[in-house]
Amino acid sequence: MRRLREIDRWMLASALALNAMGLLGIWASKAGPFLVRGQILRIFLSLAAFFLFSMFNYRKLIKLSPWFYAGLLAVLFPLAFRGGVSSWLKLGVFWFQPSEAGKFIIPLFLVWFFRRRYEFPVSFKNLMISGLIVLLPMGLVALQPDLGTAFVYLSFPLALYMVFGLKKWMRRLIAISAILAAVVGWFYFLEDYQKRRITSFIHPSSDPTGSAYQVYQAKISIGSGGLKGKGLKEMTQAKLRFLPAAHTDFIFAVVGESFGFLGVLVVLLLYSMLFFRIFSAVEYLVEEEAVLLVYLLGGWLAFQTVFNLLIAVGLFPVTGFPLPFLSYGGSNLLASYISLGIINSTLAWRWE
Amino acid sequence: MRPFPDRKVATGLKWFLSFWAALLILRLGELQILKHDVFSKMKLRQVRVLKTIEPRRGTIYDREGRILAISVPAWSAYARRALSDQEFEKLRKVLGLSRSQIKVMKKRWEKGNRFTWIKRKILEEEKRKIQALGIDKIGFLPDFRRVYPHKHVASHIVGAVGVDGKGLWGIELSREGFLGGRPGKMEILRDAKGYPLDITVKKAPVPGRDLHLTLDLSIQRAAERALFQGAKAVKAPRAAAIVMNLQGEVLAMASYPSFDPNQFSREFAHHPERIRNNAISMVYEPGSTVKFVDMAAALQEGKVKLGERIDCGGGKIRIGKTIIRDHRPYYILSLSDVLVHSSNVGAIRITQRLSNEKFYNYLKAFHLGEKTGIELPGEEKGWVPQPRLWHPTTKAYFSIGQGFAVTPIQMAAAVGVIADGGVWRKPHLIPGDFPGHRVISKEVSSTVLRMMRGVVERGTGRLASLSWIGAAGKTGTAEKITPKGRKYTSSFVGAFPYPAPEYVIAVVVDEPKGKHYGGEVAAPIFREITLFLAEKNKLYPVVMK
Repeated sequence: MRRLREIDRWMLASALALNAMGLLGIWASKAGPFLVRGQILRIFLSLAAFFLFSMFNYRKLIKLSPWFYAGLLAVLFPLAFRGGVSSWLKLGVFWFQPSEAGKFIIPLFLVWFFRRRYEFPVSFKNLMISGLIVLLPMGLVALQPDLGTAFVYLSFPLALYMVFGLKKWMRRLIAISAILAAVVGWFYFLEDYQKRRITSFIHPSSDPTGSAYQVYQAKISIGSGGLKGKGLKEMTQAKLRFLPAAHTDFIFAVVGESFGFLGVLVVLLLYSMLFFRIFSAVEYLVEEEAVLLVYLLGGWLAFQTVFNLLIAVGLFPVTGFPLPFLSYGGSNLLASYISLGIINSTLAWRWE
Repeated sequence: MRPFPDRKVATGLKWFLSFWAALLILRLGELQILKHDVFSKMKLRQVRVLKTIEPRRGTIYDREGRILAISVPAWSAYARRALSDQEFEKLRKVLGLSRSQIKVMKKRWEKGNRFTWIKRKILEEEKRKIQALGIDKIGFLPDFRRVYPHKHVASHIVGAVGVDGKGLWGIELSREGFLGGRPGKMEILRDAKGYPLDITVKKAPVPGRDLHLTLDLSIQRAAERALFQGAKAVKAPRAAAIVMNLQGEVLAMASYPSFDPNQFSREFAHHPERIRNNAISMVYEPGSTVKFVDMAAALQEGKVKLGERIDCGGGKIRIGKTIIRDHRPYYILSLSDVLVHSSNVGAIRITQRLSNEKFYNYLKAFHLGEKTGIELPGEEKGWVPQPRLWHPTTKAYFSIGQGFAVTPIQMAAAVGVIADGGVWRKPHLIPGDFPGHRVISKEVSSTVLRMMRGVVERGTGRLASLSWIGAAGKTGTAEKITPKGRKYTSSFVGAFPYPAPEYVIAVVVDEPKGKHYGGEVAAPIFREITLFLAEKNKLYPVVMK
């Protein structure tokens, strides 16, 4: 109970407020409370996980992380080669996306790996190994294929780079291999529909009914919302089924249409508060591994949030992943709250 | 080595996120405030569909209130999205769509159209059959189907409507504004899959008004039966018959061949000749029927007297370089016998006493070569050239009905002058007051009528006689020189009953094979029609007790 008093109240409050906005958005997207009840249950379950992880000593989690990581790979491996679009796994009565668990397991394992290896900038050997730690699950997730989640995994090397920095030649090496990977991926790995998402972002008129359609409809949703929005009762784009994935990946467009510019400003304000509190936590921490952990966990949350919003307003090609704390669905919500719980755990256990 | 934990990284990260937040706010401001109107319009455009509501078309009745054309509530089936091949197969079994129709629909979808008509104007029963297939891409909009319960009967007068419900022919076309009404507008709120969610009527349709015709369906039926039998018996390619009363009201107007207005587009595509209304569109030389005009003109001008004897020159007369003959040699005939026996020589001799201009003026006064202005599309004018274009021989030919052209309706109206005491009345199908204009005096008209009575009683038109009730008429046989040889137009015009006519009847049979005299081909048709009229009006011989 002593640990619970250490929880950052502003962080939790903004997350809960975002949940509330998300519930309104889900209500607006389906013209009623059909999905809202289930989502409230998911929020409560995720909150329970949040408190549990807040109270649990994060150092023990780091110590156990090799086992978590091995388990993650063991689960992802069959999913990657099962064929079809299969990112879901049944856990008891819940359907769960194991790739979401990677979002807190990979940071824990990375922190475990770097425990006694702090060098600035990072050595080539550590760069290679840490790269492998991220790329292995990322590749498996991409094979499912779930490019959205794989894309979010990119936040981990980004956070590591910000913390450790890179030598000039390493930066060049990474840039060149990234370009190579992009070219090879384009010609050998990407499916036609995935390529079309990118080409249609560059030339929106090339494919007005396919993936550009989603962006087009999302822009119409947000734009027609105006300053004050249309409220919950109006026939929105989502209710009229023009906006695909309205209650999941494009929930921001629904909020924009129903609550207008003022509504999305509130959402942005809440996210700003959340991330300000997360990255301010770093200043209270004394232990290196805790700081790295907060950067990695807060990093993916911020990364996923920013890119989801950019996609919704048509500034980035369509890549399917939910908006943390707002979208309908359980897996990402659980991963988000667990990450938030671990961040709070670093605060609660910082003096021991 | 930098200190770790590093506040600079966290500060940098916060600035970095602030930059993205600012970018997002700018973009949201652009979308939601600057371009709000544009996107609102875009949304409305994909959500709202404006559709016209078809107004109910007016019903067409005959003079007794029998329905000639009526609009019944129906449905038009459409597809919201492209149908699969299996769905087409199911539909084809129920609707009997042809392969070419399916091809047309598929092409529309390929072009990016979403909304496509599947079959328009189907009745409730067929709609249920389609609904039973359970294809949710198919929707129905209320519509009306135009039904012509009497099919071929009076089809040329009533006409037909197209798939859009607009008149294409007959009264349906000429009275479109009256029958059609004004379409309304409705706004359909639809979702992305094309399902209508809400329908609001923006403008209610104004239904068309009902129309009563002067037509009498029973007489129409009788006239058509008589005409079609007669025309088929002589293998004529076209024929027409008209029955009017003395006020100029058309009671029947039969045209052979005829069509089914319920199948108008098919008939029009495969048998365009059936569509033509020969009663107003067939241009023919009237032949001897015009001789009653000669007689009326000469009597009115006082150039001949009743009881006068006309020298018919043994059935021959030299006109210019040619010799015109009678069908039998006549020498001296009384004035009425010239008409009774249809002597060409006699008719020429009589009109020789009239100047070209006088004679022409009488033709015009009888409205020959002029549109009568009947309320039907496709009326022909005929052709009667002015005297300044005439040759020295033209008048002689005109007096026997050769060298100029009229339509059956013109001849019917011309006989009406004789039957109605000298007044020409406009033939019409829609009741109304049409002032006539006097052409000849009452005395002259009754004199000519008496002569025409002789035609039926003892002259060329004996086959038109009912023998117990009198009729007046005039036969006509015009020669046509065609590339395929000599052909004829046989006609009979007359009034019934005699001595107090109530009906004016004109019968024209074009290019009969075998028999070709008007008295043989057209007069029996006239007789059939008068027989029906006699029965209808219970005109039985008066037996003196």
